[in-house]
Amino acid sequence: MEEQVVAVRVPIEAWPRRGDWKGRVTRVLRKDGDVVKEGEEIAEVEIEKAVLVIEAPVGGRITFRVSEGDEVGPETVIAEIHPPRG
Amino acid sequence: METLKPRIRVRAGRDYHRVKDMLSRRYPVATVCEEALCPNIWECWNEGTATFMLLGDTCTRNCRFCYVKTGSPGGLVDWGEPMKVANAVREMKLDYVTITSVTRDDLPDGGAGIFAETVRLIKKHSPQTLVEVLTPDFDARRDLLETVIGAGVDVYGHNIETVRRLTPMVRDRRFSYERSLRTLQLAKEISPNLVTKSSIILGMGEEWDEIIEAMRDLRSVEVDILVLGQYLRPSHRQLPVAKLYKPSEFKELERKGIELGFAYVVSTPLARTSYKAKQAYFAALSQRQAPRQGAGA
Repeated sequence: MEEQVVAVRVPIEAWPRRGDWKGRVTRVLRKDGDVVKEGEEIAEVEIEKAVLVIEAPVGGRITFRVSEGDEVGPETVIAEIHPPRG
Repeated sequence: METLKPRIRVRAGRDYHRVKDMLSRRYPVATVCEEALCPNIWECWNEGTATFMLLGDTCTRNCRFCYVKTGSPGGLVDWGEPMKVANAVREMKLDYVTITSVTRDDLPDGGAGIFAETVRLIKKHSPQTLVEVLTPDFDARRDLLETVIGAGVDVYGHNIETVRRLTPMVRDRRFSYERSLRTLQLAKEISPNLVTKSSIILGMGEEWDEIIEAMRDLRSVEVDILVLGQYLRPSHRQLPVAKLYKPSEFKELERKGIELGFAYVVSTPLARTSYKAKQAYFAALSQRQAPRQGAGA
């Protein structure tokens, strides 16, 4: 059976039709391989006007695709979460 | 380093998606919530409300604090926009709506006709809905203000944005502090019972005494509702933040505003002109009916 992976992205939903903003990852709150719970804060992205708190949409084992200091924009993949099988 | 910027949790509830789908697919009109990267968008959209932005998404003026795109729309106007807004208001079942716009120096009427048509259609299709407009200065032309106000506006807003001294540096050169005051004064002259409203963005380099002077100037033209909020730089292309005000300073300014005679003052770091607009309107109305006793009450 193929393993399910959920990508966690910088939410374009923040300002849906204004996709031209940029930010920087200021905090990565867990380590690769950690098991996170649904809704848990996993990272922060600071844009000029605010700090976007990135939360895990599902629970599971996490692998980050960005590091603190990286520039990101809407839809950038922050991490991947592997939910438990079954 | 600890930041004082607002922390936003991006949680899209059912109402949020309903607002988003309606505004991006069914009745595509711009919102200032998106165009200005408003940090309150989550709170407002999750409550099923939004602030509509007429006349497209491109402003002919270039204020140094503002994130709205600037350019030349070439005199183009979407006359279907008023109906889209009226339909969205009806479907969203809004009992209070704020309509704003970009500034359109390329139009002979500055967009007053579109404002008026939008207000008329909202009132026709949602007769119970209260309408607040937040307009450009319309070059302080009485005829244009009469066009908008005559359509049935309940609250007339125009922002002075900053203190007198900073106006030429912060706002587009075609705006002037005096003309903005005159615009607000005209609104009151045209309709003395109309509730009027203006905002000052704090944190762009103004001194405390200058804020108080601006507040006095707004009261001199009988503005009813004052909004004070913290400037947050939208991107590196806009002015840097000169000062982050403490909540206690916002409180002090609120107290001062009430002392100066404003019927209602919204003064918090994340306050924006349409933030808690309905609450401010009703508070201002009740305040008019039962004036406060003494200062700072």
